[in-house]
Amino acid sequence: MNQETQRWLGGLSDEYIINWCNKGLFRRAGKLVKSHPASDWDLDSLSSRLDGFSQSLTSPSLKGVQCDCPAMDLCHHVIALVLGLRQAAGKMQSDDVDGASDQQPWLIKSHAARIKAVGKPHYDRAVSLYNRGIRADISTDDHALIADVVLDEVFQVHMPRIGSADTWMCSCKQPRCVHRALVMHQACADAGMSMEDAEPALTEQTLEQIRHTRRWLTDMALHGINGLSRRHLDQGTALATELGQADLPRLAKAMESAGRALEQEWQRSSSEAPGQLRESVAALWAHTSSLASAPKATIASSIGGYHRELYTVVRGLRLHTLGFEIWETQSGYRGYSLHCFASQSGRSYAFSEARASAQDPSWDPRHALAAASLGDVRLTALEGCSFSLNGWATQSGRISAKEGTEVIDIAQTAAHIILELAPGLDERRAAFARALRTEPLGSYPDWGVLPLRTRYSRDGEKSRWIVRDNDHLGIEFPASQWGRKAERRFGQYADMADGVAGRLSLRGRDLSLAPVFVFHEGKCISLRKQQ
Amino acid sequence: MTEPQAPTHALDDWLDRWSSLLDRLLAAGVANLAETTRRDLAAFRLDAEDLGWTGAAAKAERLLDQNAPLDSKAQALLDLLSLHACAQRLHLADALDD
Repeated sequence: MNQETQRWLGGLSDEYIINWCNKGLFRRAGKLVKSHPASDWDLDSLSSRLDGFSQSLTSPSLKGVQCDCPAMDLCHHVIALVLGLRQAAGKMQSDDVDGASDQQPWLIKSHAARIKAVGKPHYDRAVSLYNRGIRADISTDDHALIADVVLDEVFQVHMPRIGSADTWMCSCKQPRCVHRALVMHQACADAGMSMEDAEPALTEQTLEQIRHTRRWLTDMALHGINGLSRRHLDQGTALATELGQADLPRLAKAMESAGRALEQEWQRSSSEAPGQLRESVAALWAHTSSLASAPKATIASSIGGYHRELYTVVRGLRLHTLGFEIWETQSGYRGYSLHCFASQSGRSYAFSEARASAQDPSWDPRHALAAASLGDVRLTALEGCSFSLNGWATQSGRISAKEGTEVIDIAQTAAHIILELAPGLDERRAAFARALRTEPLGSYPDWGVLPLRTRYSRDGEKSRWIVRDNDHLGIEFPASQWGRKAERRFGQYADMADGVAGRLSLRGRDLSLAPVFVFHEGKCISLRKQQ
Repeated sequence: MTEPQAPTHALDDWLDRWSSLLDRLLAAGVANLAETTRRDLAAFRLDAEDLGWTGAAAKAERLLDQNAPLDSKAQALLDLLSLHACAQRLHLADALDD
């Protein structure tokens, strides 16, 4: 047995072999190995004879084992050979064999070789996941790289130090997968390798959409919004659809927002453009400038945006229920949300259900809320409680209720505990400042629980309040029926609240909160729950 | 983007005046600059130069240039809008950290 084979066998963990086959075959092979003496494993020819069939190892990889038994697929004989040789190799005098290795075959320099190692579809998907902030938990030892990839399930990837990409294993059992691709991509990026070719190239069609968008903006700046026709607005609506189809959803949203602001402006017929239009146009122009001038015309996914949020596995996520919200949007959606606060991270999570009123007019969010469950637990039973969630959530804090979700360890929680655990306003402001510096033209809506034990008062403007003695937070209510109802309820507590929770956003020069809950006398009271 | 040299307290007012000017420009379009808007734009250009916002001053100069093609003027306005939005957000970041 040569050193390479001995090192390879020494690096094979039980988990790696089980990933390759399955627990049943592994157990059967283990029994077979126990029933044979060590001398039955020929360390020179790397072969064995088991149950009347011949097995051999021709190269140090799992693809290099063969058996002549009639099994169509992997058999327990080849697993037994690998286990038997591993056991025998471990007992060999190995003074001249260095068990450790510093090889890192997962670090692949060239972009083309990386694609070849894992396959283009998996590689492209892995890059997309990586750019969205998905990271594997990677560790290495003397024999291998081992990584946990948390997506809709937890997958374990194993990459031996000896051997090529063919020897990489994943618990998903697929011959190739996005999980291996993500681990390789992340390892290369962590090692400081150049990843500039990783983004997919813009197609000529996408570049054309970007040019059309810039032409649309240029025409607006040329003639002014007061000199534009309805046709220009219709073109903008069509462009928003095309940008979404061209995999640039973020630009599509900015275009929709600019179109809405333009429509509102025409109805207002003022001599000044509204700030909302100015900001939408500025963001759209800046984003299209970045894309159009990107080196090698690549899509920077952070600029192009993502169509859907990723749900990834969460285990033992401890959540405190704030309460329920019944809501409707100006764009015609109605729904309910369960809002929660995660004590460990200080972040907010929500479980929601919604319908378009036009498509499903009979759907009532109150009835839907009364009938809804998370795991085996009725949603309404979670009011005033804390619980642990085993399930799925997005990075922005949306909770899924898909099959397999578990709600456990439910306990009553007083609202003042949430306020004690919540980060303060200064911390929130610092987080917003960091986000602004990272990407000035991004959009930063967030949910926040703010332990502001102060009084609130109107600042003279309708639907806007300020926190007294603290002019850094405005309290605003949407100009809708629900906003008016919420403001009336807020007024009842405005002089005696212990804290507020709701949607935080940037308004002009400061933070603004659209409150959904008020904390008062140890209770968290919903401002948007129909009685 | 050029870093501002203005003291923070002066920047608030200046950014406000800048946004009002941009709103008027976006409403009327660069093809129809009113005389008052031209005067405000010229004042803005001088302010921007004084404050060290050379990029913004250059865009304002382009807007005032009678011989510049209209398309390039329109693009100068869009660049100014982007510069202003970035400046406002970065100024806000400073205010949030105070």
